[in-house]
Amino acid sequence: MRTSSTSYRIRILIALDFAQKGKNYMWFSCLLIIGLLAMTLPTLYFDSYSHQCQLLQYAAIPMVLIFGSSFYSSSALTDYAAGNTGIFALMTPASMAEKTLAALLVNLIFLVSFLVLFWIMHFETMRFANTRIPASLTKYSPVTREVAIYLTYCYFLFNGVIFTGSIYFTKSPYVKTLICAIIGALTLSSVNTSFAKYLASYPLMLGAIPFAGWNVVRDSSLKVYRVHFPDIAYAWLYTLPALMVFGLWLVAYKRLQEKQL
Amino acid sequence: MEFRDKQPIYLQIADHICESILQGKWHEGERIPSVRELAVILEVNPHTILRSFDFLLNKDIIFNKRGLGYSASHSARALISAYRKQRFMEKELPIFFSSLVLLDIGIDEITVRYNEFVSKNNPVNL
Amino acid sequence: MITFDQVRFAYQRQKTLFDNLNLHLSPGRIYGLLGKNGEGKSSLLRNIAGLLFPDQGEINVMGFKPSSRQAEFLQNVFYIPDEPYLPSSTVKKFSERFGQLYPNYDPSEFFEGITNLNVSSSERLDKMSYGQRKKVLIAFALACNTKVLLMDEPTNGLDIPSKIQFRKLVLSALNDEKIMVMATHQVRDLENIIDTVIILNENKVAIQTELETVAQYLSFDTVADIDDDSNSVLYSQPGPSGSKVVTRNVFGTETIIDLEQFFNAVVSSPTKMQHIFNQSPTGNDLNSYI
Repeated sequence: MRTSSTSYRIRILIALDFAQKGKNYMWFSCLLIIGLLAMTLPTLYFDSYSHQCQLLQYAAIPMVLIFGSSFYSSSALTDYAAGNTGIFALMTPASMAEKTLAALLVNLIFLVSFLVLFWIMHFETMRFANTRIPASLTKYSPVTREVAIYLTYCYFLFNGVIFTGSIYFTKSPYVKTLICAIIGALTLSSVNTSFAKYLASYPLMLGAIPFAGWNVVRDSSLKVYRVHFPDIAYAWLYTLPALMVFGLWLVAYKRLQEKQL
Repeated sequence: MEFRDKQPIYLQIADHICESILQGKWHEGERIPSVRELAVILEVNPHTILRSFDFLLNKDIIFNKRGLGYSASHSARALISAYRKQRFMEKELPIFFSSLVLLDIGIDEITVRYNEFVSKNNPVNL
Repeated sequence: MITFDQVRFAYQRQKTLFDNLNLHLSPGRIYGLLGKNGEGKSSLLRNIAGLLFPDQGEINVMGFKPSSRQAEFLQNVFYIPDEPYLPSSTVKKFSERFGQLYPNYDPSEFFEGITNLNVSSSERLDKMSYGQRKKVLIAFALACNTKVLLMDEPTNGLDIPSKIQFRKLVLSALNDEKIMVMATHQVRDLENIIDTVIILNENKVAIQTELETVAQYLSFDTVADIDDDSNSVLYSQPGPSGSKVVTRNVFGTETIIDLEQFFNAVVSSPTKMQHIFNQSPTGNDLNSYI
């Protein structure tokens, strides 16, 4: 029996994906890049610190987080989800692992390059603008390294959910997955917060976001205690979301394997 | 090909092959189309064609050269005529006779008609 | 080789489509899969293709388990659904892009096929009518030279000249390694090109038999009137030129097979027909199994 190699089939599948959806990808990319530039470039326009520009820089974060992470992946596996398109896609000669991998790779190409572009724009525009502002005046402050890592994790986690959702829901997967993701995120953070409150014996105020330390205000003195994770825990904190992302990809693969049409 | 006869298809195809040999489309001693070719031409499953070939092989009308496929035998025309005559005698003549009996037609009347028919259609051979 | 060993398949638990189903299909043959609406013809094909998974039992297709959907399996199975989907591109691009996924794909065969079926290779697939799309997919499927070719109502939507071309293409693509299975209601379109019929009735295979064998057991005729007390008539259908009847072949002389009448006879009295096909035919050996 004549056959072909796995890498050959994955290459073909990726080429097919671009041939089929290339135009859409291009539109999405243009839209996102224009949006990104519109929010980061104004910083360079002024010689002094502009509060609006700083706000605009931070407003780009949710845009990247929500749209950047999901635009490409919302259609990643939809071809396999239902109907005659699904039959055609499932019968395409490549194993289910190869199909998942091909979709994932296309997804990651966009995902990673967009995120890299965003961080470069975020840090570099502010750094460059700051060089023109005299030392005594207010300067732009980009996000800290920890926040950047945190946001990067969120970005991939969110993407994983959307990627998996593209095969789970046969009709309007994007909307449904988005709703699920938001509900999931809210549940996670409220569980996290109530758990933190329980551990801190119900303080006056408590700020806690998942996978991060707490800010606790115990009494009316309004002194903020920062509760950090121990050093060993950080290793876990970094691996846990990564594991979750891999888990989501695995779920997508399993779902594709079990798909019946 | 349309099959309208009551006979099984493989026999109708055998007839078709015989007809082609009689008409000189395929020559005695020469190769006839393969099972596959005939299947495509006649739009019939190759197994059916094989059955027709088996039938004609049994009657020695065609023969199988190893590796070269099937050919019409050297005396194919004579064998076809003999086969047709036999079939006429066995199948069609009894039906004809029973009509004669049913309609009360004497054999003399038939002889007269037969001679008339032959002289009209084939005067040279008389 | 395709085998089904005691296969059970149900849609959403309530509706069992087939139970305890055994099948054995060998290469070099064209199988006609017949059955009334809802008897599970499409589902049977999709079980072979690995698009649906059996609830019980084993399906084996050329040594592969279809539900695993391995690449090597998919490279050798082509399923043409009744409603075909094709991506949006031209015929030429489609051949270039998707052909490379099938190791035995022959582009010249594909273009010859679509020319014979009267489709132009510069047309766009997404602008085509149902019939045109079907033709493209049929030509593509044949050119992929897969060992297993499954077709659901292949002649649906084809015009008369294309039906003729379809038969010719299928027959010229057939070889000793291929298994073709065609599910159809349009018996007349395919009755001369199939060599074995599988009739699905009441959740099981009512009869699987070579057509050659059918003529040994049964006679097909059109008669002016039927004797009332005649037990030999198995099925009759009145028509303008007399009743079409199916009777037992008592004298051993074969007649042309009317597949439609055979199907009707099997569906109207399956047990009687199974009984007949279990006995040995007059003067011939038994080579049919049910």
